[in-house]
Amino acid sequence: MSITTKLNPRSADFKQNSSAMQALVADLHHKICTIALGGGEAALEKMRAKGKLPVRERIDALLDPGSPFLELSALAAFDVYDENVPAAGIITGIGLVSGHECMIIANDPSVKGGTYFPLTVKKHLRAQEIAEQNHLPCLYLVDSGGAFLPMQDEVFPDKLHFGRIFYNQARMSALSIPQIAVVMGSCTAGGAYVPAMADESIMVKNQATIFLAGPPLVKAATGEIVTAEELGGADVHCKISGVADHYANDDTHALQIARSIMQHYPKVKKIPFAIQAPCAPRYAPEELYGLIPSDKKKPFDVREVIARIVDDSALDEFKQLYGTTLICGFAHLNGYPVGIVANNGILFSESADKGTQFIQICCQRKIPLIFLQNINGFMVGKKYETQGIAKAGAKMVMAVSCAAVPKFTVIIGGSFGAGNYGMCGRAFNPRFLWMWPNARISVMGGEQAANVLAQVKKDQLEAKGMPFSDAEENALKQPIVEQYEKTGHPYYASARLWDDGVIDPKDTRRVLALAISAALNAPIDETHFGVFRT
Amino acid sequence: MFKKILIANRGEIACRIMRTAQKMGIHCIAVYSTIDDNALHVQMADEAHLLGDAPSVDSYLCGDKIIAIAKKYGAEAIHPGYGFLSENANFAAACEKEKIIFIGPTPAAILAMGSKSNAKEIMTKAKVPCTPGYHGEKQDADFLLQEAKKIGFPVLIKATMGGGGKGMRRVDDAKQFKEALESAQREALSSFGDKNVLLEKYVLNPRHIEIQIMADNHNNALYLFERDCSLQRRHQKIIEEAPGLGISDSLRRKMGDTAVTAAKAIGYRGAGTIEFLLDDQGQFYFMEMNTRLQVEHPVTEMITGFDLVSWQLHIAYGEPLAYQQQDLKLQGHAIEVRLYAEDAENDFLPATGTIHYLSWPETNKNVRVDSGIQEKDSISSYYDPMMAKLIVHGDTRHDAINELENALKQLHIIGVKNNRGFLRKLIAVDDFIDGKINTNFIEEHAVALKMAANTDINPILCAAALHLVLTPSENTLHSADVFSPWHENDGFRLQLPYQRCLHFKYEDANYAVTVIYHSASEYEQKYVNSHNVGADPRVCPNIGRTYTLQIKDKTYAVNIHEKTGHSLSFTLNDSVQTMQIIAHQQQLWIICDGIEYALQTIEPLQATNVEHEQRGHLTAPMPGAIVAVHVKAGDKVQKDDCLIVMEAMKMEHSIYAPQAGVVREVFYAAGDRVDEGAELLAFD
Repeated sequence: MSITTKLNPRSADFKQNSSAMQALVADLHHKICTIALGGGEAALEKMRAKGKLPVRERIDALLDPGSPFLELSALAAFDVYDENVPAAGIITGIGLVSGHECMIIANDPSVKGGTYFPLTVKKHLRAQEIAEQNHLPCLYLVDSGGAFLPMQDEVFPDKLHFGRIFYNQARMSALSIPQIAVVMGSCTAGGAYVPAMADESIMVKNQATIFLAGPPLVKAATGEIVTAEELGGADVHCKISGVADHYANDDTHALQIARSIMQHYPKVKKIPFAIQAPCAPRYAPEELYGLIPSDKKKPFDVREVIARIVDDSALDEFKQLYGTTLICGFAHLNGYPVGIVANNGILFSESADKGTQFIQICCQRKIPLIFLQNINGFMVGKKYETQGIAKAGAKMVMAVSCAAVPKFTVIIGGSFGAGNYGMCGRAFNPRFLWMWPNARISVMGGEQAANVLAQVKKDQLEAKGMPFSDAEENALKQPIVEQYEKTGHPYYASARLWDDGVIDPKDTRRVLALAISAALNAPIDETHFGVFRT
Repeated sequence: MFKKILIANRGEIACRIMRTAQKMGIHCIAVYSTIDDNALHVQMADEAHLLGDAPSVDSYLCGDKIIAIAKKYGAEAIHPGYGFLSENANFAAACEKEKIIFIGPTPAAILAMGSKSNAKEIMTKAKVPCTPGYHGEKQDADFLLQEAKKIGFPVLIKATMGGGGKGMRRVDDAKQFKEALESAQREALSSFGDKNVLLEKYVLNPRHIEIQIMADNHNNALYLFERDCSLQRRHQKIIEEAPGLGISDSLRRKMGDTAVTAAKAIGYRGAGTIEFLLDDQGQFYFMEMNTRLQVEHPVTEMITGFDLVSWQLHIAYGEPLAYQQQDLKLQGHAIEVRLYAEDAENDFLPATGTIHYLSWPETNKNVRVDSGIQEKDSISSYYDPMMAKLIVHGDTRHDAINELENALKQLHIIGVKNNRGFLRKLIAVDDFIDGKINTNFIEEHAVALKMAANTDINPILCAAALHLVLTPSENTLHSADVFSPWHENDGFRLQLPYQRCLHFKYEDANYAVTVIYHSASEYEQKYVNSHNVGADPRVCPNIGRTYTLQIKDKTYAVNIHEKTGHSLSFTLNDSVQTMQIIAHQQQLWIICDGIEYALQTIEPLQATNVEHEQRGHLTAPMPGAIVAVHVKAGDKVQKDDCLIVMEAMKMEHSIYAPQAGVVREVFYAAGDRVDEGAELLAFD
């Protein structure tokens, strides 16, 4: 049934909300546009002068002309390091190459020579994880100086560090997920394994080099004096060593070769369910701006959000009259069947049980799940604890954890405490997770945290018979609130790869559609649940 | 009337004959060659039978096979159309022998007129004026050169058995005579099986006026006025009109009577044409008689209101002419243009290819199209390159020209180079409009005819770019994910703009168009931007999309209104544009305001490969057969030496050395067939 909006775009609230959200979106837009310049206009010009394409132009030339590119974590490393490392020096995202949805992982040599910072590694690994989960062929556009040496301890040794890149390549190759490397610049030491581990690799003449040790290291080690080109240029590797497979004249040519490799990739994407002709929602997506209260304490009806995301604004609710703080229902998004789980208030036992049952149904029927998170947590208090709300919450977490259908999470408001778990937070392996610019994520809200800490302090002081003035209380609380505001902010989260990106609310439908479609490259497995505590 | 006839022809004339015959209730049998098995004339026929392989000698020239089919399937008569067997006396005689009526003159009449020298003799006897020339049997080159000198240059060498401009050469001075003679003889041999030629005085600034006559088996003959066929290229007519310009009633009567006299002199029967050269003094000379229905007969039909094919059928059935000379009235003015598959910008070389798109003007009593082609047809080099004719009629010549201009604007044959654009330019030349025409008109107005229209190419480039932007990729068409959001080619990016640069080639110049995509949600497309509110973007995916296009320093705001089939309509800044776009591989044809623009899309990689284009090689300018190879490997040649002679569509074309050098290797020998662009020889 189509949702009928109760929103009045002429109301003062709507206008105020709208301008608040527009300001957030404008800020996001501004930040991402700046990040997209990579190492800056001068660095890009320098690349062009050498006949090389800037990384984003490489991606555009690789993708099918005019097709979408779903970029991941553009805000990675934003405001994290002492130095500016836009997009963590690596562009990742899903795009269409010769008709196949592929994961593109492209070094940006204009940013610190394309070297790997800790978050560069994390972003690279996350892209590979998405590729593996969704069976997306990987195209690596390699142009990197290797590990960022001053931080080698955070890049090299651990399980999810540099070595994992090659582990993933090997494992994905074993799963028949194509691994293609286009070497467009240097590819030194550990980096040399990216093309070497690839199923097929392409090198650009006079531009790409692959070697385990570069000329300076060779000279230091053995005294041999050799140029980079002689040591590991395209001529060496395509004609003599066999380290690379295809010889390209320039960037454009190399990318064309990559396109033709994918043109010959014969995999057919199988759609596991019936799909419908898509139908635009009945309401303008921009109205999402006006419906999210600028005051985070004010509630809103999440159905209004759903009405601006799903086909024809149509949602068939499950258990509409039970556990009403969690909205569950079936809908279509871009023609794909989806199950939607969306918060409409705090979670009670009934709503958690409803969610559990709904997730079970979707897993039975292999319907992808979309979680719209706006949750302050589970209800607290004696009544609820004695009712066993922890048990209800655990069941929902069990269901979410084990659900093998593709899961997609969008944090549209708060994401606090155990609510984050039950609603498929990052730890629960959604295929993708995005945040809106107004969202907040932390173990609890900043004010609650401040209140808790203030209460603890007050209790301590009271035990000692000491007073705790309002001024002292405020002085204690203020920095906590500020800290939570900072570390719970979507930019802070996205910079650290806690999500796959901060998106403009109006793009939500499109982003979800692209993600669902990409996820269908992998078959949907049978779900096996663990023990439910009843 | 006949119950069943066979049409021994193809293309527009076969279709045209069938149209009349079928209207008269006659069952029509078509014949065809292997490559014509799906041609329009086969589809139109009541039954159709295969003759043989594509070359005419294996198909449409096989008189025996045609007669056998006629007998086997009970055809009472054979209409030969024009060309092929239409003026073959042996064929006409063979029909007679088999008791099949040949819809045309007697074998004797064909024979009498078939040899030009013979014809002139007869005409001279009948006191029909003839041009000075040599029509004798002696064919040795030196003798003919002497005769040519006697006649005085310029001289025309013509195949004795010829027609249609084949085996015909104009020679301006004695030095060129022998090469021209050889070439004319060779062409004559291949076209008519007889290498004999005749010489004729080349009348300067002549007009080519011909009289249509009709004669029955009962000694009646009349003339259906004249046609002016002065507009020619390579000695072939391209525009014919009736009545002739500035022909007074008395001259018309005089020429008409002369024509009837000529016809009667040989006991003619059926439809025929007497061709005269008319000089600027009003003197006219007999040139030849065509003993068949002519290509340009529709102009006569338009000004008389008669159906000449119907007349032919009645006459052949033995009926007397239903009219007398005084019953015939000349009504208004008619013009015919011939649409040839040819490259008007490259010396009218025949062109081949596939018709990707065909659009005819709306026909009515004043606009007629005679065509034998349809979309998806291939135009081969086996037959005459004429694809269709457009005939218009008006009260005055001016009205007719207006009709013609209008009709040509709506007529499009896309995929095969053709002379449509050339014809449009031709009929816009002031001297044509003023009726100052002669057979050298095209040479004399070469400059005006070559001039490119001074139009702003940018809107065309915009349409080309939009076409590419809006066309879904081949890769997405067979996906099981039929509504995949990945297939929406809207350049979606998160927070970032998307733009593309597209490259095109038009008339040897390269252009770059930058397309900046503006995102529009489905909702906007469906409910806001759309000029067709409520149309779902997934059904009409392009409606309401907006772009900014940049070409050099010009910027255009674009909003897509509609893209259906070949038609694209969009607003370009403040104006609405509707264009037809036809694409085939790298080729793009864009029709805007009746003008056709042929563009090529250039892929980025292709652009880098251009430099590898080879030098020092000579390639075939058109598909055809090699007639003669004048050099062998190792030969030293001078610039402009003739190296290879090829033939396509019965026209010869010589390949000359582009510069002095040495032939490295020759890849073909006489008799080989070559495709356009085939490397003929390597040259250092």
